[in-house]
Amino acid sequence: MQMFLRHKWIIAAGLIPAVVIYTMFSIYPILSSVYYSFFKWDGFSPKQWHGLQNYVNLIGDGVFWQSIRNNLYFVLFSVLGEIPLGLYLAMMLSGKLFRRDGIFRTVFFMPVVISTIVVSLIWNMFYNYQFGLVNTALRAVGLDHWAQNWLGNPGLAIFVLCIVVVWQYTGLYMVIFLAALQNVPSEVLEAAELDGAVGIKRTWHIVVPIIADTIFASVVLCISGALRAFDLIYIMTNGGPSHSTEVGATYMFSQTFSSMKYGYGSAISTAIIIISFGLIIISQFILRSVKR
Amino acid sequence: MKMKWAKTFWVYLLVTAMIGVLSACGQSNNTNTASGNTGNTEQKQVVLSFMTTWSESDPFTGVYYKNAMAFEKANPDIKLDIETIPYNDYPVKLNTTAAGGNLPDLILMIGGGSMFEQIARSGALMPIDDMMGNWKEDFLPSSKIKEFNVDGKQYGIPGEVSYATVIYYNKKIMKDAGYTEFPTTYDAFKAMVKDLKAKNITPIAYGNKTGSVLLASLLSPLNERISGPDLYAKIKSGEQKFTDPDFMNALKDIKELSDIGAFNVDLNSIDNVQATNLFLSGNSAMYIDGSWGAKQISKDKAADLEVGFAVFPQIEGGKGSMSTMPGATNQGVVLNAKLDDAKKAAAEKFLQFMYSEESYQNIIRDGNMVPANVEAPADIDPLFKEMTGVLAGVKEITPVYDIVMPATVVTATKNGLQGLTTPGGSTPEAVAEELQKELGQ
Repeated sequence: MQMFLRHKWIIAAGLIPAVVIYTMFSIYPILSSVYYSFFKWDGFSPKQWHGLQNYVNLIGDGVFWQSIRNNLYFVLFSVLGEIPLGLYLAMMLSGKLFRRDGIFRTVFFMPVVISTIVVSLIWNMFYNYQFGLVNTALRAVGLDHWAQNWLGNPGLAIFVLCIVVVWQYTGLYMVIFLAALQNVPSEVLEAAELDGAVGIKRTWHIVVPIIADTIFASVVLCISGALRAFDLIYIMTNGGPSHSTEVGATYMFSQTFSSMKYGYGSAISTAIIIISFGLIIISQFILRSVKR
Repeated sequence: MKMKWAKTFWVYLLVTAMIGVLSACGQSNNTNTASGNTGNTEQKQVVLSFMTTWSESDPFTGVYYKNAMAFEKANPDIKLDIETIPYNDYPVKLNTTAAGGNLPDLILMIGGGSMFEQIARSGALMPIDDMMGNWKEDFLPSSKIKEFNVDGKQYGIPGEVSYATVIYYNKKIMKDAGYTEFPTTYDAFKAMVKDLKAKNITPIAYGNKTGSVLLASLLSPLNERISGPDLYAKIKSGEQKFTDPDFMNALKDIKELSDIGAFNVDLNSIDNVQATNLFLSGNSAMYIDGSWGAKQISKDKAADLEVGFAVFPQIEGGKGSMSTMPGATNQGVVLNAKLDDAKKAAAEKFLQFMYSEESYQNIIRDGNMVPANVEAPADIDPLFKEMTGVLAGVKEITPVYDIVMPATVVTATKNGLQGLTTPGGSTPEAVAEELQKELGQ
């Protein structure tokens, strides 16, 4: 070990393969994407220098802002849905009632394991207007006027998708919190119980502070996951009807590869990177101030 | 001291080995493709890489796949290395590989039109004018293959002709509602739609989730009936605008149909297959799709379901007529410009085989219309035969919107049409303005 520390170049040499691969497949594409964003380019004809025009267009593009707003809905639902729900389930499952029953953990974790394509197709069938489970159930109890075209209603579709996301990923956070809860010393809990802290009080004042670091890490995971959302929407609604469920990634995809505006698409992806960075930094800032 | 050097030595070895393995990975790929290009002279087998949507089990392209397999069997010295891409993803895949300069030896062009022309003009494809001697004019008229001709150079030959709009209707539902003849004027058609709706029947089933169906099989015929065949050329040249009355009226008609409840409520949330099933299960009186839709219907329909066919009706005062129809020629295989002589010869054999009389007859037998003058085999599907009978009055094909317009406008139109047919969505004026802006950029 000492040898390694003395010869720093050995460490550097060891890192080179990873750095090379990372640069090739991550840094270089990001930088070239930023570079392309200054051009008007359809992929075939020669690139035309476009200056900042792509970004000017982007700022005036209502669909782009709508897609970012939808991304924010995803972030909100993920952070306020998945994490509290995951924590709740984890507390339930680590409680006396279910501790021995592995089956519930498996059931709640199942959606995480299923491929997103399968999840999307299943939920597409649930939401189907004619014979979907949701509408059939509503009609069965006489709530016919509630039955509607869930994925085709522009005001509703994005929230309907949020529900699917929450369903899909709650299990992941449940498992993370289950692991964290095992590290909560039982003496502390017993002591708290003796002092009369039970139920919600015990959760809020004893358990949550102890596993706070795990929660913070989960929030960051959650935010970055929600900003990356693509596959579920691409399959379920393809951003439609008429852009109402568009998120940044799907809009970038359709502009770049369907409309063949490589320059503009690159500008969108650059903007997404900047916005994502901003959100992560803001959330870190908030979390840090909460911690104090 | 000795120990230390030994350790350093091992670290060195490890690092070199890792770099060696990594670079070897990259190299081995290169050598593979290189040997594929030059061809193995010992075995004299030519391998042609081929990117396509054809697959054996697909009702729409299965016949082409089988023809290609028959070609391989007849030519053991040529091997096809087929990469199958799903239909909906194909344009994206084609664009990106073409833009990246990584096209395979043979490439399927689903249709002609703007995307194909762009790739052809970039010089990535090989003209096949020197091979055209294989097809005589009276077998394959040049007017029928012009969509695969760019700037006077022929690049490929289409396998089939398809009309963008065929109205399929449920004869029983129509009869019960009091319609024995399908209306031939648009006003009568609209009145019938209203009447069906009032009788609590969903008039038309559409599966417009991807946005392409309304575009091809409703906007295209409306434009043709209202403005005649040259509207798109005029719009592209700037002579007319999307915001001018001609195009606006087509948008208004779609909005009106949507407002009177002509479509299934979830038209923008379900796909074509689901819409076909709605129609086949008797949940809608009509289903509108291209002529290719007949295959799925013929394959999946219950034995007692009687399907009728109709041509999109005439619009009073419009410049178009029922003897013309928006349509396209499809399924042409084109060649990579970089083919060497051995591969070019093999590719020529392939094209000769794929677009021969026998192959065309297989294509007809599978339920498609073809651009070549071929006698129809006796054993064709009766449903398909009925459809071609109804379409026999169509004498002329006019361009389809999504083939002619630039990709940016096509994408914007798809979204615009979804907006028009969504409750509380966009207005025709807003859509037209958006399109004009998109075209100008």
